[in-house]
Amino acid sequence: MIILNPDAEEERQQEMLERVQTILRDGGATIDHVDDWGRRKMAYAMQKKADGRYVVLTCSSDVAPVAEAERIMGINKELVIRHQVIRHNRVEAERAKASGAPLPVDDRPEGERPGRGPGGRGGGGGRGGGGRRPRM
Amino acid sequence: MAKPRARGRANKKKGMVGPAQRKRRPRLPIEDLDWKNFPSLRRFVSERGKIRSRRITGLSRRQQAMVASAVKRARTMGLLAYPDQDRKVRH
Repeated sequence: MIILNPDAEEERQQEMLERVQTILRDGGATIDHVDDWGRRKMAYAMQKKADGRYVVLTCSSDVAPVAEAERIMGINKELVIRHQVIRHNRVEAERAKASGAPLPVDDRPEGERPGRGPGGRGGGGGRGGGGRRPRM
Repeated sequence: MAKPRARGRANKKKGMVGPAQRKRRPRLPIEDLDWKNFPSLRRFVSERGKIRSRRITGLSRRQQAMVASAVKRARTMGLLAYPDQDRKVRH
């Protein structure tokens, strides 16, 4: 996953993405999915920016091209706010290969979120309930 | 181990707590558990952004570990907030 600087020119963002993909491909990787989540608000500011353009690449690759891509992204700090590479295990890899990484949908909007664990509704959930909200 | 104790205590404190049976292992849609799927991770995180304990989530040890690492990855990428961070940044 890459967070690009949304304030940079569109062209340069695209260029960066292309460059990363080229590095991976030249290193013998196959890129299965490119999911662009677009510009969205980050949970906290990074580099004093509130928004970031999220892009998720799903690829199968050796280590070397990934390392090179990471190096390039690390250098271009004004373009790439942050990046994270996750190595999948076999199950995850199959799943990711099949579906990519589309932007997840929020099935429980902000409003109705009392903040219970799943299944914590019963005994466990009832404990902290009352009016007493422990500092968590 | 934790199960009988938790249930006993809960029943003692509140006599008529809803469904008496607390499910030890809630159906965790492990297929959907992914660090990128941050909306579904929110229910494992308190309002402050702390990861809920196993006592609350009722997950197995393995599941809890998966949730924990998923939350941490999501935090790194700004999908979830770090605990107590919103006070400074948001609004």
